[in-house]
Order: sequence, then C-alpha cells, then structure tokens
Amino acid sequence: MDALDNPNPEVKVLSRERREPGKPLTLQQRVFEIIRDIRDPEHPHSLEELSVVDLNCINITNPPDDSPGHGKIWVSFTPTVPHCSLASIIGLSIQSKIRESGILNPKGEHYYKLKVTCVDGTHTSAGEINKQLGDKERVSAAFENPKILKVLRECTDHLP
Amino acid sequence: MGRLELQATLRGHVGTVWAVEWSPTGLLVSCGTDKTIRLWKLNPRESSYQLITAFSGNAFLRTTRDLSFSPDGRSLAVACFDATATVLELFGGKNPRFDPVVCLEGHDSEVKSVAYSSSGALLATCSRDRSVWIWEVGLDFEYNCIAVLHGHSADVKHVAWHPECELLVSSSYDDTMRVWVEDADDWFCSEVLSAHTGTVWGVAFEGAAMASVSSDESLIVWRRELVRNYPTFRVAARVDHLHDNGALCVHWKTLIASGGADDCICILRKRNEREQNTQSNEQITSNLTESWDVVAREQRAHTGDVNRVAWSPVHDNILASCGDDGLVRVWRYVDDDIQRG
Repeated sequence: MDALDNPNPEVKVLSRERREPGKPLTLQQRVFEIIRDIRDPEHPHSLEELSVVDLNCINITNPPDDSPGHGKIWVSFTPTVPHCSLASIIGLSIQSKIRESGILNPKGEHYYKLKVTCVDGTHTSAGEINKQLGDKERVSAAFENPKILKVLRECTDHLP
Repeated sequence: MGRLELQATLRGHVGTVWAVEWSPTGLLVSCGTDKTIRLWKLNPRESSYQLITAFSGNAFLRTTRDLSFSPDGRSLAVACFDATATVLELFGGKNPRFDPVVCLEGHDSEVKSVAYSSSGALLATCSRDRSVWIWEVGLDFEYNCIAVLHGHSADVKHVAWHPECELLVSSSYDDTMRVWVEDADDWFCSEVLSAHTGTVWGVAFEGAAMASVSSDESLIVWRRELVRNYPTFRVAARVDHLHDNGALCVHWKTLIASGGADDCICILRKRNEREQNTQSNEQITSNLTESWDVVAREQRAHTGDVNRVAWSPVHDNILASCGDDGLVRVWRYVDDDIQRG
C-alpha cells in the first residue's frame, strides 16, 4: 500500500473487561464479540479500537414469536475517514465473520438476515458502498475472488 | 384467490442455489455455489423427482450462476463467476449425462446470465464487466461472437430474448434495462428503460410483453406499442412493495411468478376487462392500462432469498423455485376460485 488514507487514526484505549461474568450474552453482544477484533485493513488496530464499530451499531429485530419467519441483524459501521478507500473491505470482513459464525442460522424455526452498511454521511460515497454491500451477487462473487480474499484474511486471520 | 401447494423438495446442493430451469421436455436443472449442475426428472408414478445426473468435474472454477437450455434441449449453457460460459451437451438415452463441449471466453469478469434465443441460433451472455455478448450458434457446437454491446454503466445482471423475434433485453445494477436489436448485421441499443429505481434483477417475456423486477421491491409489466411508428416499451402496470428487501426473480406464463429477498413467492394475475371497470384512481391518473393482483403469496417458500422461479413448459401451473437455503422446490398453483366453480 502506497499512501494511507488515514495516517493518524484516533485509537480508543479499551478496558478489556468485556462482560459481566456468568451472565449469558444477548444476541447483540454475541454479534459484537464476532466483529470487535477484526483488524482494520490499514492499521494494526481493531475495528473497536478505531471506533468503526461499537455495541450500539448493532441493531437486532427478533423473528416473530408465534409464526415461522426471520429476524434481522443490521450492522452500521463508521469508516475512520470519509474518503476511506477500504470501507467496502471493512463491510465485507464484517459480513464474512458473521456469516461464518453460524449465528444467522441457529437451530430451530428461526433465522436471521444480515445487513451491513456504513452510517449515512460518514463516507463521501456511502450510497455507492451500501449498494455494493447490499448486492448479494457482488458480495458472493467477492468471497470467491482470490485478491479480495487475501485482503480479508489479513483482517481476520488472527481471530479464532 | 389461489395458493401454492408444495409438490416436492429436492435436496443435494450445498450452499445457495442460484438458478433452476426446465428443459423443453420437462426435465429440471439447477446450479449454484457448489459448482455442480444437477438434472432432475419427475417420476410420474410416485409423483416425485429423482436426481438423474450431476455434473461438476473441473469445468467450473467458481459459482455457477445461471442456466439456459437450447430450444432442442440438447445444449445447456452455464454462466460462471470464473468469467466463462460453458456449453454442456446433454446425451439422452437411458442414462442421460452432461459433457462439456465448448467454453466461451472473452468476458473480463463474472458471467451473470445466459440465454438462448427462441430459434436457438443465438446465445446472449452478460457480465460484471458491463458488456453483453451475442454469439452465433453454428453446427457442431461452433460459437462465434458476433457482437459485444456496451452501454450499461455497471454489472449486467440478466439477459432475456423476445420469444418471437431477435430482440434482446438486458437489465443492470445501473437500475436500467436496455433493448438491443439488429439492423444490417449491426446490433445496437434501441431503447433505455428507466422506470426502476434499483438494480433490475430479472426480466421475463410473454409474447410481446415483459415483466421486470428490481431491488426497489417492485414489479413492472411492459407492453410494446407503436409510438410515432416506432415500437416502444411502455409501462402498462406496476406493483409496488411486492417483495421486502428486493424482488430478485420473475417468470411469466399466463400468470406471473416472482420471488425475492423476503423469502416469498408471489403469483400475480391480470385483472380481466369486467373487473377492470373498477379502476383505481391511482391507475387513472398514472396512465397505467392494466391491473395485476397478487392471487397467492407463499410467505416462507424458502428459508432464505428466493433466487429463481420458473413455470414448467409442459405442465400447467407447475412452478420450480430455488433459494439461499440450498433447496430446489416444485409447487402447484391451485386457483380456489375455479375449484369452487
């Protein structure tokens, strides 16, 4: 990579106290556990440290109680700078980790649909990026593209 | 009103099933992320479907996205994300099998759709690379590219031929559809249709009319009419909010079937002349000439997006579908009004 889009990002100092011991995690917390440590494609920091994601950026709609159907998990991330050229990669890495985790298809009748977008106004081409990330065909083709996979692996390989 | 009755669930694919198509004689073929082409046959005695052959080999390096049978049923074109389209020959007889006969190269990136013209003389392919290619089909599986069509400003998602003449429609991520025709060996874009406000995922013809579906959640019915002596597609009906999160596929055989990212299949029927008299105000003000009613909605046709719907060419009211849940399903549309008499 030649020049960094954001050479001096603000890095949040995190307390590693992650949750109350013994208490089961909510779905929102479980999704956050899956994505918080994804590494930024440009920096040796996590998405959480760079404030790209936090717990509140995860929005859950539960599936209907009484009938079969799906719920929704919506992650809206904030790129570090409004011209970040790697925003799509960040979105794809969030999608790939959540899909891999199996959290979308728990056992039983219910399942979840996933939507990943960047927050309106946080990127100069947010509309374009969100259209790309919402295009299931482009996303699945990206996951088969060796060049993109290589970058994605750099963001997620250190994760369990 | 009507309903869809599930006839069969066909298991075997691993991961998303992207396309399902009928052969002219009523065989069913499906493909998806597992790079395998599966051919299914109805066993009429048990009214069940059985797998008769599966083809994978090393022919496909990535997801197989779309399928088209030639009108004689001998050739099956397969669109692949590895930037190729491959033609398989189907050998009949007691133990049918597929053999790859030609690999069409030229596109720069994912091939997303393939379609034989109704005469079988032409094959169209389209790609992420924004282009549409037209191939002439010669004897002995000889394919020559006769036109590379540029115009779309983003991925071309789908191609569909007019059933009676050599007119091609392509639909795109750029939210438009383009109509391509030939004049003295030159193919050119005769019309750009921009009634949708999102990616146009699918187009289906019946006669000179066509239906299109989009991530804007709507379905549009188009009729071809002479405007100043020039044939032009015009919006005849539009059904908004048909599929939450986007309509992904459409097929038309008297009834229109559609599928979407809401995991539903909808069946739509044109309101007849008599019913038509009760036109809605909306229709009168918008110059729409027809109304289409949703006569059946299968809420959870698949446990995931419905990627394709296809009416059987040989059986009445039989519909195949496939989805992100890895399943192929066969349905029968039952019209309760007719049954009641």
